Amino acid sequence: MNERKLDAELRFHFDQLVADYVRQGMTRGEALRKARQEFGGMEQVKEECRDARPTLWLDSICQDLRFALRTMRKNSALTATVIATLALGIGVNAALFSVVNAVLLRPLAYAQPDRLITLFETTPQLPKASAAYLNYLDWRRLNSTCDDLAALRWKGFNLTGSGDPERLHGRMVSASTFPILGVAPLIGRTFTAEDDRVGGKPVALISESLWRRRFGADKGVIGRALTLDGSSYIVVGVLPGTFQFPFRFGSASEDVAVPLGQSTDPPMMDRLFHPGIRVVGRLKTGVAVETARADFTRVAQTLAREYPKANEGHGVSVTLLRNELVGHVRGGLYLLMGAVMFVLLIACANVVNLLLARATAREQEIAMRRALGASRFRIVRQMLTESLLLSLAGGLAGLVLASIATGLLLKSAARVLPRAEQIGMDSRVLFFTLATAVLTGLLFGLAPALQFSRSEIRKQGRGVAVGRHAFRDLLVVAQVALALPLLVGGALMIRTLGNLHAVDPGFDSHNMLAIDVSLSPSSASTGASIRRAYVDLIRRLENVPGVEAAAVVGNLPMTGDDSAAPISVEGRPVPKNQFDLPIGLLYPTTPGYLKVTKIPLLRGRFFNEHDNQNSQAVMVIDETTARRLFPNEDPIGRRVVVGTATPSQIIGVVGHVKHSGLDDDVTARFHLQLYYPVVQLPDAFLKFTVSGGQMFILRTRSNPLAAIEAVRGEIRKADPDDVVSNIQSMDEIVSGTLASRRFLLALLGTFAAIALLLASVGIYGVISYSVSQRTREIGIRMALGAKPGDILKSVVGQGAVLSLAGITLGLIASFFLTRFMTSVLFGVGRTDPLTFCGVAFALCLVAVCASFVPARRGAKADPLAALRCD
Amino acid sequence: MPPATKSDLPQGTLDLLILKVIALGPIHGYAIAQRIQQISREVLQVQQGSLYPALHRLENKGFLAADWKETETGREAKYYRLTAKGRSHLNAETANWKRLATAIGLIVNFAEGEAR
Repeated sequence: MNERKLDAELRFHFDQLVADYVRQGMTRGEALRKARQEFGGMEQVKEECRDARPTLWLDSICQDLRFALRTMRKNSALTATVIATLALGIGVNAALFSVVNAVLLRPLAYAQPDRLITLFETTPQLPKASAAYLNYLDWRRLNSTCDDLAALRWKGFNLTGSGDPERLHGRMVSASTFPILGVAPLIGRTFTAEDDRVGGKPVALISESLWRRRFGADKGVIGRALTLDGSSYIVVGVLPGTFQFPFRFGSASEDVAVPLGQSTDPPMMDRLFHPGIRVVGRLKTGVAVETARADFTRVAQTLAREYPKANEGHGVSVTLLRNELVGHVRGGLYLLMGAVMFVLLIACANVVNLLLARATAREQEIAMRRALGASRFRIVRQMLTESLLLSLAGGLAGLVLASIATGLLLKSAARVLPRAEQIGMDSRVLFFTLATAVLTGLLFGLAPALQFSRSEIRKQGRGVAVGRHAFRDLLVVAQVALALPLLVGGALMIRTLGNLHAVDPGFDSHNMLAIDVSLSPSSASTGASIRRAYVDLIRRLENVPGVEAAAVVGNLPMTGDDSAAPISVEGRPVPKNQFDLPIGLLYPTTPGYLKVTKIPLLRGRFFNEHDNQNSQAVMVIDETTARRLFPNEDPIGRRVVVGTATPSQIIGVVGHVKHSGLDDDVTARFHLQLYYPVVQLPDAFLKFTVSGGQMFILRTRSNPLAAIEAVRGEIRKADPDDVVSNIQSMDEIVSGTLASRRFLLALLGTFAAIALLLASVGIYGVISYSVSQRTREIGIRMALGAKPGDILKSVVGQGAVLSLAGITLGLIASFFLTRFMTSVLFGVGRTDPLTFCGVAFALCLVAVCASFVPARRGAKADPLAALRCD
Repeated sequence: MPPATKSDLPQGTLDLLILKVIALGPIHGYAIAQRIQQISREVLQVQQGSLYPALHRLENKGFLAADWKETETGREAKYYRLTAKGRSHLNAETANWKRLATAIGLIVNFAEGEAR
């Protein structure tokens, strides 16, 4: 529009000029010539008029854009390559950033999350134990730095009554939980102090999803009764679906909450027990974490004086809730973030290479435009417009790639990352991607733009400036140097996982099934009924075709579920402080346990059906316990005391199980493992044990997963109100302990693979280009008698020299960078020479292959044709 | 082709001339060049390479406004006119110029007197 008016204005001037000359007596032809002479460069005048008004800037940018689009369309193959490369580079960054954003950056979804802290009890043996309930009550009463404290404890519930029985996950929580976290109920109310005490009315909160699923979102649900674990609870409120309790197990949804303070379970009433209670506090406004730490240390000291038997040497650890929830994954995520930045840099180097190659081809055009009066600024702007357009297109494609990738990631991420369910696109991810794209565009656009805007026609002859060639070589070296640390990281992770898989966990996890069963309320009502249910279920399960043996166990090995207590040996002096005693892991189980797990019996015997509640309490210990507690004597026949229970006689020694994970046994918190007949537990403890669900384990003859349906059916037959909530093969559980490492490997491996691909494309590109530039030289050399083999050698040699330079730099970089991986490696040093050499060799091989293809093309060239070219 | 006025007008002078000519009444670009040439008795010749960028610059600064109108010969042309802002700018610049011209005149005359 403006352009047309400008044209009309100048054309009018021109025509007037011509008309004037004609009036002065010239012929029309003469007048035209004279006017043209006088007018000079019409385009130049126009350009200056455009420059005179910034409003036209937008116009010229549109022009630049149109031109850029045209150029991109014209070179569609190159454009596609560049966009694909950038999409990879930016895509992995966007994907990983969306993870970092969700897990680390986004504030916790609670009111004023920066003031939320979490408290653990510290004991002489444990840096972080869950709080004893009575201690929590005293912390709450005695501290002066928090508005309030809340206590939360996991609990499974059997929902029976209307409809199918269902196993629900949920919490026992203090009434203070809701004001502290700042959550209001969707309908109804939350708990009051009245509810949160022994003898309070049985009330429950349900989740929005349960409300919709079981009650059809009926507002009349308030005041209705809910049968949980055979007892009736009154629903008082519905929690909004957006709310989640902190400290969730994986991604399981939690549907029920009941008041913690109503519990009369014996472990809740005893300071010696730490029944999995998590404590969250809200700092008073303006109080620093350090101040709170000092305050709680004072509180702990008061309690230690008051209850020396239970609390001597105990302290309180105070951490920001956010750090506690995500702190352990921060390092790994930053490591990966660094890795994807390397990938992006490698991608950038590739794009610079491609654009340089194209800019060389366009040098003529640019020189021409310079000669026609385009300013250098204008040309740089034009080229930057092009590269920005490319990078934005790449960013857009990257975003698509990222959303696909995060979708794939989500499943495995849920196992290893807290807050994984929040991973997704939001404005911050979009902004990050946009910023990355723009920066990338400037990065890869500026170098060629500046270099070529200087082009002048007279320099435009044959051949290419040497400096420019050196720059491209440098890019290849950089690419190889950047790719190597990623490959080394991937290789170290592969070695680590290989080493871990070779570790013997101490039992045979193949053909083993673990079943979480919640006994029906009638079975779980008394100690006697529970014991009967055990015997009945084991008998039924062992009769399922394909099942060899079945057993009950309190804690599954390698799941992280611990039940632990201090162990003392009868007849030995008891230390003044009971916390000087070693802590043992406790496995209440049934006689079939060894048959199921194939843990070897080393001495004595395992317990059998005759070791019951009426006979002598017995204990089987693992070899570590035998070695630690009875270094020079026979443990069989000795008696040990677990916690405050009555002494038990040791009747056998079995092999040690790597309970804390395949890698972690040396640094594990607990080493001693003790097995005892579950039926010998006192009734109250037995009821407490089964209230959280009871684990059954099976040994099958073949694929354990094939037995699942039969097992379910058999359990239903035993009691239709028994609920099977979770069936897993033991292999899954064992390999689940490696999930976070496998996650790291999967990502690092992917990034390394992309890096390798990009780097080899880069090498290929540079060598091809150099072969095409050297066609004449090759022709001359062949005319002078060089054989194709010599040419091949020389070209491949060039590739090898470049990659060797890159590999050397990359090895040095790896030497320093693998420092960040030390904590995840197992059985392999972070500078393992074999890995370093292997990766370097492999990369070198790839580089040689990548330069071999263009080299062969060069060597096959007809010398005459080669000489004639240009 | 380097754009320059043949008269080698000092920077800013061209703007003043253009504004002064336009102050006489709405006028199109070609006529401005003609008028400057006529009034200066052919001493000053304004090249279109300088004229149009200057016009666009002044328009952009808000000193000039423009309308497309028919000329006597019946063609559409862009007629420039002075805005209020342009008029006060012109007054200021004219006063400036007169002061400067007087000052330069004094110096030049003085120097001539000395030489005699």
